[in-house]
Amino acid sequence: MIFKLSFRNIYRNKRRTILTLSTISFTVLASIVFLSWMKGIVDNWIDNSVRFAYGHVKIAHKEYIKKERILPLEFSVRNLSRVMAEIKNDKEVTIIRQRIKFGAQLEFQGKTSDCLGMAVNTAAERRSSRIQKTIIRGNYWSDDQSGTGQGILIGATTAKELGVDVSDEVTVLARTADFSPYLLVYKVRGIFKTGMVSLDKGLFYINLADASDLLNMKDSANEILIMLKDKDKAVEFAAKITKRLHTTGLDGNLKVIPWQEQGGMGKMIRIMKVMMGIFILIIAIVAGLTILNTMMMSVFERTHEIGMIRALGMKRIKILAMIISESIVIGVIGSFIGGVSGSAVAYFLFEKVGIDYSKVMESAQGWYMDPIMRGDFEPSQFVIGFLAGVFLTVISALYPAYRASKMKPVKALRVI
Amino acid sequence: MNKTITFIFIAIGGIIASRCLGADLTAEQILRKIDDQMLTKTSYMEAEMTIISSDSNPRTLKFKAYSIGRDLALMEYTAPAREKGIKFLRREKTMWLYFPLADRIRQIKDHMLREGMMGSDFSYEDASETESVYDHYSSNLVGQEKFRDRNVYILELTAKDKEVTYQKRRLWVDAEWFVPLKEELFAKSGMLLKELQMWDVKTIGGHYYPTTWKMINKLTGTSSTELTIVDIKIDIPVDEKLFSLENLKRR
Repeated sequence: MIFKLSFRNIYRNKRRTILTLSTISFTVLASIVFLSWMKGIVDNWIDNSVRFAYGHVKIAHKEYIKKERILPLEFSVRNLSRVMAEIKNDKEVTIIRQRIKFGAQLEFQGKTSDCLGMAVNTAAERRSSRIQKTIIRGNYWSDDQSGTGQGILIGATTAKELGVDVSDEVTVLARTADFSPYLLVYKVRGIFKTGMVSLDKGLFYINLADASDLLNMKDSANEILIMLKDKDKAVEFAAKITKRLHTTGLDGNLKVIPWQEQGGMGKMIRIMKVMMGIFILIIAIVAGLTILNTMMMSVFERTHEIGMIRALGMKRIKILAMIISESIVIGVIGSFIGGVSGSAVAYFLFEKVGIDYSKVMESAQGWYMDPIMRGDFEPSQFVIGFLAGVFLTVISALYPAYRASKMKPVKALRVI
Repeated sequence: MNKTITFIFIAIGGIIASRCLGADLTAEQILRKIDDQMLTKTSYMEAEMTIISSDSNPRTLKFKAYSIGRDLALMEYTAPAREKGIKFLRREKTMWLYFPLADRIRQIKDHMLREGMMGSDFSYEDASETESVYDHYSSNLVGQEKFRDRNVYILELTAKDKEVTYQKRRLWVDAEWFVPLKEELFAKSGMLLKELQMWDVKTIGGHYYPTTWKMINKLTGTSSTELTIVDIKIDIPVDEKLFSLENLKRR
C-alpha cells in the first residue's frame, strides 16, 4: 500500500521527479565512467612500467640504485648465475630478465644521438615486454640469435633523427665499466615504435653477448627484473628473496625492490586513490544536497495532505516509511538508468575508443603510458555505482522524511 | 770618503743579497721558465699509465706518443689487448679517437672532453692545451718553501675568464729545474678538484723533464692515475704526416 502511494506521489510532480532522477542518473553515470577511466589509466601505467622498467621485483646493487641516473657499470650484480639460480626455482616466478643498462652515443653518417642502451636476454624480454610487438621494420631476435653480431633495435624517433633504416650500420660509442670509451659497429636489425616518448626516443636494444663485447662485462648484469605470477605478491616476494640472499651469503650489497617501491609508484597510486575518493565524495555531496532539496520541496508541498492523513490516523512511522520508499523507488530507477548509461559510455567510448593523448605525451619523458588512454570497465563498477546511487538517495531523503513524520496535524491542516 | 765607501758596500751587499734570493723573478717569469722546460719542439715517448680506482681493479695501459710543439699530438695504445691499436690524435684543439676493431674514427666532442682519457684522471681537455695553459691565468708569487727537500716557489694562479675549467691553481715549482713538482687544481668555489705531482726529473736534450706523473682525483677521492715515462726523446725529427686522419687508419 505504501509503495502504491509512493508511485502515485512520484508521478504527480513529473518535473521535479525528472530533476531528481537526472541528478541521480548523472551522478551514477559520472562515477562509473570515472572509476573505469582511472582503473584503465592506472592499470596501463603499472603494466607498462612493470614491463619496461621495473619488473615485478628488481634486484640490483645498492650503489647502482642510488646512482642509477648516471648508469654506473661498476656496480653490477656479482655472482650473477648464482643469484639467478636462487630465484629460478621459486614457484612464484614466471620470467627472469637480466639486463645491462648503459649510456652510449650512436652515430650514423655524421649524426649522433645520445642514447640509453638496454642489453637484454632477448628470449626473456620477448615474453615479458612488448617491444617485439611494436617492431615496425625489421625483426626481433629469434631465440637462437643470442650470440654476437646480432645487431640492435632502435626506437623510431631516434632512427628518424639519425636517418637510419634496417641493415644500416651505426657506430656505438659506450663508456665501459672502467670509464674508458669503446666503439663497435652494429647493424640495425629492426626499428620499434611504442608510441611512448620514453621508449621511442633515445633507446636501443642489444643482446647481452654483443653488449659484453662492447662493455667488457662478461656474465654480468646491472639489474635483474623478475616477473611473478601475481604482481600483488611482489612485496612479500621481495622480502623472501632478500632473506634468502643473506642466508646463502650471496652479495650483501644487493637490494631487492618490489615494483610499488620503484619510481614512487606505490605512493602515487595511494595518492591517486585518495584523490579519486575525494572527487567522488564531492560529487556525491552535491548530488545528495540536490536530492535533499527536491525531497524537501515535495514534502512541504504536501503539508496539507500529510496533515490530513495524520489526522485520519496514519502513524508517524508510516509517513516516514512512505517518504523513504519514494526515495527508494527514485533511487532505484535513477541509479539503474545512470548505471546502464554510465556503463555504456565507459565501455564504448572510453574503453573501446579511448582518448588520444599523443600530442600531449610528446614531451612526457619518463612516463610509461600508451598514447591512447583507455578506461577499463568491469561489471562490478556497475554494481557499485548502482548501490551507491540508491544509498545516496535514501540517505538524502532521511531528513525530509523525518520532518514529514514530525508534522503536527493541526498545524499542517491549517496550511492550504 | 767614509760615506761613499759605506754606500758602495751597501749597494754591493744589496745586489748580492737580491741575486741570492732570486727575488728578481716574477711569477710570470717562473711560468715562462716552466714552459721552456715542458714544451718541446718535438717529442717521442713510451709510457705506462696505471689507473687506480676504489670501485674496480687497477688497470695498466701502455702507449707510445709523438708530438710537435703544442699543436700536434698522436698516441697509440700498445697494451692491454683490448686497447691495443686504439689511437688518439690531436690537431690544435680538435681531437679524435680511432678504434681498430671497428675501423672507425670518432671525433671527441662535448661532454666527452671532460672525461678522463681512457678512463684515467687526465681529461682530454687537460691534454689539449694549445697556448701555454698559463696564458689564461693571472699569477702571484706567494712564497718559497722546501718541498721534498727541494727549494720551491709557491705560485697562485687565478683564471682570467670563466670558461677555464680550473679557475684556481696552486703550484710548487722547483727553483732549480722550473718543473712544477706539485700542482693543485681548484674550482671557482675553491673546491679542490685534482692534484698533480711529478717525480723523477731527468735531463733530456737540454730540458728537465719529470718522468713520473701522478694525477689524483680529489673531488671523488676514489681514483688516481700514475703515468711513468719509460723512454723519451726530445727534439728529434718527427714527420708531420703522422698527425693526419689517414694515418690513423694505417696499421
